[in-house]
This record gives sequence, C-alpha cells and structure tokens, in this order.
Amino acid sequence: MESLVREVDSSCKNDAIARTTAYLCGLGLPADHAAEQAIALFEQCDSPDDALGVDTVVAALTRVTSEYDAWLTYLSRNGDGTAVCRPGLLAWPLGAVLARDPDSFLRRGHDSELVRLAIQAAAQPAVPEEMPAPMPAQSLGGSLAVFRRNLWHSLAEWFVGVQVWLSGGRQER
Amino acid sequence: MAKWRRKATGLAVLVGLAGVTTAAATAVFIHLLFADGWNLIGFPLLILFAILYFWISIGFWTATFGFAWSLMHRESPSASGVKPAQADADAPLPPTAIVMPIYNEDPRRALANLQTIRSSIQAAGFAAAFDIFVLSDTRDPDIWAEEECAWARIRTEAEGCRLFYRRRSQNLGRKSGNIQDFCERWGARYRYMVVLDADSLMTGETLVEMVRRMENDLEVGILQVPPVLVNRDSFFARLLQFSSALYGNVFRSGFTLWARTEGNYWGHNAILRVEPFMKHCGLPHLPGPPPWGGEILSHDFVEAAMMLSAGWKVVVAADLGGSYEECPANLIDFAKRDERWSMGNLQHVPLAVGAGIHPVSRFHMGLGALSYLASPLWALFLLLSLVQGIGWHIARQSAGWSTGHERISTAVALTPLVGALGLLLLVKVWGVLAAFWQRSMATRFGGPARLILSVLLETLVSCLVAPILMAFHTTFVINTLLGRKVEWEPQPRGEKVPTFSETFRVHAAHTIVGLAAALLLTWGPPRLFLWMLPILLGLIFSVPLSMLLSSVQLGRRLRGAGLLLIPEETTCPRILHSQRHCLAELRNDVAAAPHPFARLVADPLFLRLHLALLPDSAPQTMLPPARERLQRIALSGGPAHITRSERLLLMQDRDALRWLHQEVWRDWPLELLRKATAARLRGDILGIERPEKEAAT
Repeated sequence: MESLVREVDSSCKNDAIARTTAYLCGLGLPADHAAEQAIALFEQCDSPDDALGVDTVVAALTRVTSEYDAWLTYLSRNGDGTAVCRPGLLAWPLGAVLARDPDSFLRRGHDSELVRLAIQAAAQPAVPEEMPAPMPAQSLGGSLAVFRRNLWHSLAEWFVGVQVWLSGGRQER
Repeated sequence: MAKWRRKATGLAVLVGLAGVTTAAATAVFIHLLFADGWNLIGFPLLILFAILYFWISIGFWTATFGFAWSLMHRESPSASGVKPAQADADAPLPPTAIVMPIYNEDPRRALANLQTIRSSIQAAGFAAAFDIFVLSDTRDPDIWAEEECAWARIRTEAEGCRLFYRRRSQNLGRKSGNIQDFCERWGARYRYMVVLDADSLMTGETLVEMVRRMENDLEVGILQVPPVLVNRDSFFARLLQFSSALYGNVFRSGFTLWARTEGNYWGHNAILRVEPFMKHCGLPHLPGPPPWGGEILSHDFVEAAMMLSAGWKVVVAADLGGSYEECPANLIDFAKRDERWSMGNLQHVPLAVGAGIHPVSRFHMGLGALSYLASPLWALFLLLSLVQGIGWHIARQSAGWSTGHERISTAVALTPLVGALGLLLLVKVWGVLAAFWQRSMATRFGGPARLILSVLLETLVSCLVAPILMAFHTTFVINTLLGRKVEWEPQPRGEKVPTFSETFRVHAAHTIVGLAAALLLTWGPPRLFLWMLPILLGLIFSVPLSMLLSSVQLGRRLRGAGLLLIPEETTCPRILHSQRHCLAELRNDVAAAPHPFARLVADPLFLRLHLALLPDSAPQTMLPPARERLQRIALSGGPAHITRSERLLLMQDRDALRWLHQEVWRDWPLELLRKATAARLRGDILGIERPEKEAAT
C-alpha cells in the first residue's frame, strides 16, 4: 500500500489527484485508501490526464463532497427517513471510524459496528430539546428603594458634575 | 417553606462582639486623641477609626469562631439548620445540569476541566444524572473555533455525562444573562443546576453529595462549596494559595457558624435549586447609567439576597472538599480583577438599603462594599494621622512643648495601627494553631518548621503588598464614584508574566505617592517615620516587588524548598492529576496547528461540525458585496488579512464558509491544507484505540 502512495505522489502531475487525496485524508481515510479513491474519482472526471486544470480540481472535489454529504445524510436517517442525528455532527466521529474501517467509506447497508457506534454518538444533539419557561426580572424593593437608588445616583452624578466643572467642561459626563 | 424573617442570631453575636471590641478600642483612642483637649481633626479621625476597627473586628471574630470550632471538632462545620444527607448511596439522583458560562476563555483549559469533572462523575457511578453545558458567550472568532474543536474532541471520548455546547449570538446581560438564557430554554428539564467558572474543578463525589443535601433539605435554595485555590506556580499566586489554605479554613468555618442558613453565593462552585431560582432571582435592569445603573455586575450576592428574601436557605458547606479554582498569577491581574469586583460591590450599596432585602443580605452586601471602601478610608485615616502627628511635632519644636506631647502625638498616630495589626496577626496565629492542633495538617503544609517559615514569609510580603492594594482600591473607588465605567474583560487564567514597562506604568503612581509620603514624614518625629516604614517601602518599591511576585521561577524554587506548600501539593488529589493530564493532551493535539480560522475553512470535518452548530436561524449579517470582498481577502491573504470582527461575520455566514471551503482546496498550498486537517484533535471514540497518524501529516 505504501508503494501505491509513492506511485501517486511521484507520478502525480495533476494537482487534482493530490488535492483529492488530501481531502479524503481529511475526511478520515488512511493515505493509501485515500489515494485509491482519489484516482478512481479522478478517472471518472472528464478531463485531460496531465492538465493542471482548476476545473478538474473543483469537479473532483465537488464529486467527493456531494457523495460524502449524501452518505452522511443516508447514515443520519432511519430506514423510514426520520432523522437520527444531524449529518454535520456525524462527520467528526466518522472520521475516526474511517481511519479504522476505511472499507465502510460511502458504503450503504450492512453498516459496521463502528459506524453504528458513531451514529449513536452523533445522535446526541449539540443541545437538548428546549423546554421554554419564563424567568421574570424581579423588583428590588418598592418605591422607597427606588428613591434611595435615585439618591445614590444623584450623588454619583454630583461627583461627575464636579469633575466636569473642575475640568472646565472639557470632560464628557 | 419557612418565613424569610429568620432570627439572625449568629449575625447578632458577631456584630455584638465586634461592636464591643470596637467600642473598647475607640474609648482608648478617644483618651489619646483628646488628651490635650478638643481638636477639629480628631473628630474625623475618630469616625474613621471606629468604622475601620469594626471592619477588622468582624474578620477577627469570624476567624475566632472558626478557630474555636477547630479546637473542638476535626471537620469543618456544615451549616446548622440543614439536614445532613441520608446515607443512601444507591438512591437515584434527580436530573442536574452542570453549567459553565465562558467568555473568551482558554477553551482547552475550560474543556479539560469539564472532561475531568465528567470522568469523575462517571467514576462515582452517576453519569446518567448529570448533563454538562458549555454556555459560550465568546466574541473572539478564533477562540470560538477552538471551543467547538475542543468540545467535539471531548464529546467523542469514552462514555460519561452528556456534554452540550451552546454559543449565544448576542451576550445580553453578560454571565447572569447567559445563565438566564439557559434557564429559560432548558431550566425546566432540571431540578438543580451547578454553576462553574472556566477554572472551576469539582469531584464527582462532591457533586453527588451536593445533590443529596439539596434533596434531603427541600428548603435549601443555594448550597455553596468554598473552592480551594490550586494549580499556580508564581510567587504571588503561591502566597494566595497558601494564605487561603491556612487561614481560609478558620474563616470558612467561622462564616458558616455565624451565617448558618443565611449564607452567601459566590457565583461558582455552587448548586442552585432551579425552580425558585427562576421564580425569584431574575435580575432587573437598574435605572440610570453605569456603573451605578444598568446591568447588575456582581450578580451572585444579589441572587443570594433574592433567594433569602423569598424564604429559601442559602448555605455554605465548609465541610465539603473536592472544590477547586485558580487565582490570578500576579499583582496586576489581581488588581484588574479587583477593579471589576469593586465596581460590582459598590453597586450593591443602594440595593443594600432598599426595601425587601433580607437583613443578613444587607450585611453581606455591606461587608462586600466595605472590603473596597475600607482602602480609601484607611488612606484618609493615615493622611489625617500623619498631618496631625507632623503638625504637633512642628508646633512642639516651635513652641517648646514637653516631650509628653510628642509621645502622645506618636501614640495617636500609631495606636490604631498597632491595634489593627494585632487583630490581623491574631487571625494568622489562629490559622497556624489550628493547623498544629490537627497534627497531620501541619505536615501537609510541609512540616512544622517550614510552615512557620512560610507564615513569616507570607506575613512579610503581605505587609509590603497591603499599601499597594490600598492604593489600587482607593483609585477604583474614586473612579466608581466619578462614574467611570470599567470593561468586564475575562479574567486572565494563565501565568503570563507582566513586562517591566507594563509593571512600571501600573505602579509609577504608587512609587510617587510613597516618595511624597516619605518626604512629608521627614518633618515629623523620627519614631513615626520608622513605624510607617513598611507602608513606605511597599509603595516606593512597588515596581520591583510586583515583578518579583510575578516570577514563576521563584515560585517553583520556593515550592522545591518546601515553602508555601498547600495540602493539595503534598498529597495531590486524583482529580488534579487527571485535570493536568487532560489539559496536556488537549494542548499537545493543537501544538502545531495553523490559525483556527484557517483550520475551520480547510478541515472538511471541522467545517461540517461548525455548520451543524450554527443556529438554524443564523442571520446573514453581511450584504453580498461585503461578503464577497471578505471572502476574496481571506482566500488570498489568509486569516491574518481580515480583522477579528470580519472573521466573526464570516463564521456566521454558511454560504460564505462553503464557498471559502471549496476555494481554499482549490488554491491554498497543499502542505497548509494537510496541516489544517491533521491538526484536528484526535479522540478515542467508544473505546477504539487512537488511529495511526496518516502519511499526509
């Protein structure tokens, strides 16, 4: 497998394959599997073999991301279509799963135990379901308290006013 | 539910004793002050003396209560009036939320603490009863990205409590608003809520015991577990840790004894009963401009007051351990924190005199405000004393008074100082004696000889630092009275050593004041100058002293020599070991990581995670032309070429991020992309061993 990686790196003149390989590694696949997948995907793209075409890179990456996202969506739903978890939350634990079980990449049906555990881990949402309830602001005392608070506020304002007066009005209140 | 008008007998005893002590000292002072007849300057001196002596007496008698208790009991007191938890280890616990509000904190440290707590709860066997919430108000986009990354890393660790993450798009009401948002959205799901700070650490056993005590006494609204200061190495922090550990025990015990069920809440390391908290503790917006009006800054005291006023108990469980936090690492950070707290406590003064507040809460708020007001009062007292002392000395020299007048003028200036010093030193003596009384405790401070040396060192440094703190607090109080607002920035949690220029800038005024006072004292009697020397030395040498105190190297050397040790260092609790291990793992994982924003837009898994965490209703805050401009800059120049606020806007824009993600994979150097994806935190998932490093890394 390592020789395959070297073959990809050494013979790769097309940046698209290298980038696709790196992207698949970023999804969690080991380097050798990522290289295999990248070459297979690249061959499916309609482009010259040695052209360093930006469009080729975009096409390959778009294909990878769309297939991957579709796979995430598939895994995140039950057979009847109800959501088990958010696809985005599933991606992170799946990354570790793919490192151990790369053959499960994009596989539908007959999910491995590791994939099922990843789905179970992702099923816990980022936040639980809300149960709205009010927390009203309280009043800290009656009119007397308000009066006293205003008194303190007035004293503070007086201090500020003195400072402004002493500074010849240059300072702002 | 009991009525709120409880008999505050403990408080009455405390105030009575402090009053008697103050009255006796004041009588002596009157005799000295007016020995030569009435004088105008004597009256303000007398009033200041009485206030300050009362303030010190409160602390003295609190510590004395605690010391007396320690002579008779091995354990610290639990709040009398609160039923002890039933010894039913297997009874299920009701649902409890553990919430950690964070604002621009070090995410690795905060999440490491939560993961440690999570593991400890798991080990205690009650993981199913606790849900942990990270309540982020972070505005810094880079820290936001790292928070999500650290959360995802820990979330997929081995089984434990559920760990949730929520970031508010607007941090209305700061920390109290953050908690209110949690209560309004999820509070009804939980019977109890444990509030933590970013540096808080609590063991699973303590958390379970807290819930059991709340279950066993349905009248308790808040149960506060005093935290122990740990995990710091700088000289200053070690002094704080040592004094807190040695003297804090007698203070905490004493406080529990007189406060009983009318205790206080310190905003973290405490459990709250959610339903009454939501019903009675919603904070109002005060009328008028800040700092007196607006948001309530120090919300904890006010929430405790509201809980007490509604008839619930607020207790301090001094007998519970397993509760930890960290302290500021240097004098400047300590002062910055005190600047915020002083404003928050002074804001309580009008509330404390308002109607409907429990009398004990008024006392708590008054004490809190006085802890900062005392400094300008001390400064004024010293100034008036010096003026009087020097004035008499000059008058004696010119009018040929007898030496008896000089003795009286010096005695007037020094008697209150000696008296106050005596009470303060006695508190230290109580702490030392309590440690020696419980023999194993002295060993845990490094042994009897090292304990004594540590006390002498701590006392010496405290004498030098006290006038600097007095100067700081005086400035803070004056600024607050003048209406100057202070920004509530997050407390620095690390051990950053201030530079010389920063230290000089902060302490230059203290040096000038010290030199001016020394010059003034040359006009007075020599004895007065000698007695004032510790105050003068602290102020004049504040710059080198502050630099010395911030030294981590010196702190570690002292620790190596067995000085300033605390029990948690001689016998390290398991949870502190776990926390250090967890933190080291999290830090290693991102040691070579590129910029967080670069990782976000490049890493396909991280991006998907971030997009999943964005609220469904995340607003598109940028107009398309502005978005496109930022996208192009970010793409061509990288994150450093756009400002923080621009990165923040991009991070909230799904379309912009998806576009950036596609474009960086097309245009950025391959090596950078590989580094970005390799920087993702590795994690054990469900017992799987860590995957090998990919060849691309």
